[in-house]
Amino acid sequence: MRAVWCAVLTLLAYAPAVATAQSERSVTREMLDRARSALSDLQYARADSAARDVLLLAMLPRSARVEALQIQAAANLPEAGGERRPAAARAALTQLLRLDLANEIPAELSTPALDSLYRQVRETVYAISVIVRRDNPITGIHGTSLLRVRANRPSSFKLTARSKDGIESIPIDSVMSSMDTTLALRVGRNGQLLLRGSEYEFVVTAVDIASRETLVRTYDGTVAIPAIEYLILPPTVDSALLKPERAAPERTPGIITGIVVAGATVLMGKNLRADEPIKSAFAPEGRYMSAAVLIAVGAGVAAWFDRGRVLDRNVQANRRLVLESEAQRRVAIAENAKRAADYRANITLNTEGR
Amino acid sequence: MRRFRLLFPILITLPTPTMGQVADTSSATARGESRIGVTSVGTRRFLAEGTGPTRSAGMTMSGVEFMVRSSDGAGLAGRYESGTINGQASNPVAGKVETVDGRFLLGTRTFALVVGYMTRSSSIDQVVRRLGLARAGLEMGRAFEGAGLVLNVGAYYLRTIKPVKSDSLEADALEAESSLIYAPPRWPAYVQVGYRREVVNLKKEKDVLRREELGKFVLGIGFQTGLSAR
Repeated sequence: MRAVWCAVLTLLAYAPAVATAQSERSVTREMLDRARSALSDLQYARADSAARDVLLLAMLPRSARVEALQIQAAANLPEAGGERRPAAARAALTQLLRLDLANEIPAELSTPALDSLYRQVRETVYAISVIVRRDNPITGIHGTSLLRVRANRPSSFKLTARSKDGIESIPIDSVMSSMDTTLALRVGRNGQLLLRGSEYEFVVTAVDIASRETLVRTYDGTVAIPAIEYLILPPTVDSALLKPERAAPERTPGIITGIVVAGATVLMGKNLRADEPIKSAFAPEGRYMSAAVLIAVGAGVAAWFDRGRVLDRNVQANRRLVLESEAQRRVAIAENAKRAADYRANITLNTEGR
Repeated sequence: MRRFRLLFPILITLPTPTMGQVADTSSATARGESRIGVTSVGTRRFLAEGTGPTRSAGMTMSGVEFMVRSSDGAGLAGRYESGTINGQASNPVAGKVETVDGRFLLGTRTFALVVGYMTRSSSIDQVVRRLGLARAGLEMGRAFEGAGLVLNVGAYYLRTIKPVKSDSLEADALEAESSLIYAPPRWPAYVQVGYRREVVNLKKEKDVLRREELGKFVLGIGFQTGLSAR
């Protein structure tokens, strides 16, 4: 019972607003119909006046503004029987195209003179067209939903999301030079969220590359964006944790041992002799000295280039440590990639751009 | 005994640097070692027989040697050497000298007792005689694996175990040697340079029939494992 009362009270609270909107729509429609009727009756001044009145209305829907401008253009450049005001018609067509490059003169209002003027204006006025969808589902943290943008001149395009308070302005996408391209709506970049769950103004800025003339379209949007939680990646192995993979070089012991062995060779060569009469008859065989020099020099050179013994257990332990760390990182990265891929968000845009 | 005293300095000097400055290798797996290679031995032979004149001659002996050692240092080694000094048969220093030698290395790489057996063939009174000599001695060495370097010294005493039956010929000998072995990184090869001195006495019933002194300059090359992992 309480729920029913709540529903009734809610309806009562919203009823005036709904009624106001409906009444505005009907008034606009009535004024536009009156303008069309005047145009049909060749009462161009009345048609122009009625169209101007429509354009003065607040909260005018885009479609009504387009229709009013079309009527105004036609009323100021009649085929016959009325006063021609090309400047006013040109102004109306300029506004029409500035609203959207895709806007045209409908067949029922078309005349050769108006079509000709339309083509002239289209060639001289810089205009763009932005095609947006209301719902823009985004799959994956790096997923996108595309807006199509066109211009009648080579232009650069930029899409930014601006917070309602105007403080944040987040670049979303850009195109350097094109006349017909797409801009990607996105909620994340490099795995991180760009936007928050909030209301934004999505601003498409087009700049004519030649003249630097700038056109801006703004679309109100609501970003429905859940938080994404990533696993914290284990750090790579700190080199300080790795064990030394080589023992200290043994240069000095190597050189000393070489000298000792060379000395032992000399001692042996000089002293280990046969007894008499050989000892007196012959001097010791002399190549022991050559051998001693070779041993000392060879040991010295080899020891000098000693890089230290390979500590294979430490090498294996380090390898295990690195592999374990990499495995943990790989698991976390894979899980994060899965979370990023499974991520879902939605951007709802008001297709009535400003 | 006097000769042993002469060898004493050799035996005491090597352990000082080799045993006192061992690097921290507790994180390295002890590896075995093996070598097989050929040698070229430049030999100078001095010889004196009884009261006869002393003689000297040179030759180059060829040889093959091998060594297998476990990670704790115990192992087995063998050597074959052969060479001929040209000259008249009546010249006692001339003729073929051939040795076949086998040794057990008991201990560690740094310090090992060596026992073995050697046969030595040479011409005595124009007859080729082969004597078998038992060997006992010490071998000390140090491997620097980071440099691919092995340094060794050894000293041995050899003698016939019992006199040859026909004429009671006996022999004893002293032998000392030193060597350097170098193995290049990653290549299972080695080169060797060394020197060996042998002093041999042939005896018959305590009378020395012949004294010999051989000085051998050893160059070797071959294959090895255990020294190239660096």
